[in-house]
Amino acid sequence: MPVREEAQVFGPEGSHVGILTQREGDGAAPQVACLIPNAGLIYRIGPHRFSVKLARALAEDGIPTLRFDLAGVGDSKYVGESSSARERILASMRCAFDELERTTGARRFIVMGICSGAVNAYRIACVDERVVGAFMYDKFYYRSRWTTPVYLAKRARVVGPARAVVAALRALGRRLRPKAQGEEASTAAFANLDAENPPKDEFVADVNKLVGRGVRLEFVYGGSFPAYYSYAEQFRDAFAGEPFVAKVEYRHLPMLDHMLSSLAAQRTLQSAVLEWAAGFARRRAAGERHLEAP
Amino acid sequence: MTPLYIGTPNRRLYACLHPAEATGSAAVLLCPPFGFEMVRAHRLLRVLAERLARNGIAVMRFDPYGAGDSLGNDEQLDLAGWQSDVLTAHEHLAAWSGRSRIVWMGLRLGANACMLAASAAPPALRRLVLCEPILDGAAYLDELRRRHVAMLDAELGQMAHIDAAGRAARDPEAFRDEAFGIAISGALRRELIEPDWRALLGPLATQASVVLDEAAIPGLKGRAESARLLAAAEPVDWPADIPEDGTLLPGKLAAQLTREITDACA
Repeated sequence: MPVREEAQVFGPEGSHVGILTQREGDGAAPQVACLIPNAGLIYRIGPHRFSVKLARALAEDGIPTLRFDLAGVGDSKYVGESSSARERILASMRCAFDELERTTGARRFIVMGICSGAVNAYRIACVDERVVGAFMYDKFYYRSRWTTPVYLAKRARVVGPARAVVAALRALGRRLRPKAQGEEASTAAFANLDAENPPKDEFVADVNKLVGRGVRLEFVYGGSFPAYYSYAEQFRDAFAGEPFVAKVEYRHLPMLDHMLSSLAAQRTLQSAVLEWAAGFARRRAAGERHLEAP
Repeated sequence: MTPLYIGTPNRRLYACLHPAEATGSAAVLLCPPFGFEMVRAHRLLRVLAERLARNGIAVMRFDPYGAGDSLGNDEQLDLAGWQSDVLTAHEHLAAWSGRSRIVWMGLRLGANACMLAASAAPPALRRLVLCEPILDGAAYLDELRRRHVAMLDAELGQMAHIDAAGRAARDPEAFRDEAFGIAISGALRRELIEPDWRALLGPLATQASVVLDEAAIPGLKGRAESARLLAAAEPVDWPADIPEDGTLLPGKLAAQLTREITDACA
């Protein structure tokens, strides 16, 4: 079924811009709608137009999708009183949900985020009970005791053991070296994204709460940062013993780069998102059958 | 600022209108670069639109079919279609703004599309401002391929033997149909390679200001009679990702283009 795209202006003083993609002729309110926030500073088309392609595919599967610019990114502007970066981002996400509800009738939402978008998906899920699912790509790196040994072993297979060890020592040196003034300033533009990994304890507490609330979470890791995520079961090992581990999904897709810079990478991640999102459609179908039963 | 879709049901184009903040008779159409370069250029085009609107000029930004927020898949983008999209956007801008003097500003491959579309001599088109047009299509495609291959090796070659560069060297046809996750159709490749873009600058039907890398100017002297050649106020590595320092706006270039376009509208 063909999809339709419409430009939306919403939020306080019409400060936010997004593109709503939905299936032509879908009259009834959908079970869920999807929100795609910015990946870092990239405007709403996403890295290499991935968000456009994903929104169309989700809409074809019956999930209306709004890809939009957070306040201060792309075409959206800051308005109102100044507040912290995190408060501004959460306010942007909330008004995007309001817009999705107004335009599609959906009252439950899923969020798909890449990099800083993944952090924003997680943070809004923590504070807004309308969120029933979050798909997060390339964030939340928590090491296990095997992360570095596996990384070094795999790296050694590519460049040889000596160069792998030298590279590891250099990387360690860079981590321990105090940052020069210029280096700190150079990241100022990204500081407004408030996209650092949460402390591990905070992450554990939050994810346990989200899982308890029935929010479906999927964490996907690509291959651009092997020193931070080096093998498929790192997530399980990093959180060994935590009750949520068996209730969230996690995947390591090492042939995907962080920016999804090949069509093959885009297709792979899109398939993963659609597979995850189909679970919400199945729930709808099951719910409808349940309602129809005598 | 009003975002909307224009064009026909089969070829809907994303556009964004910036009403003039003062009375006047001029309007400007801003035409973006190709695919992944759009991300790098987005802030520049938005800031230009806002500054020009403050200068009393009505502005419209738009995306060609198959790119940005417009309908169509990557592989449906070609220069013939882009050329017709410029004319569609021109008509919409003229009708919306009611203004009698229209200037087109094309950035990178968007400048090439403007050069081609200008041959249709649409009413009210007064001047072109072409910023860093692609002057050698084959070299441009080769450069995209080289960078794409290097990126694959750098990003994914840390843990596995990728050797994209080796594959590219062995197979001249490998990595030709996409660059950085954007499909490049055979039609677009041909349209880029076949024309002598430097020669096309000579007989432009509309007067043009061409902003170029300083090094490219000597090669065009005497070949672009209808064009005023200007050295770009700063170099921008358009095919690159957003710089690590997060700088999205090439400030000197933005100031230069604001001046040039405002002068062209006078």
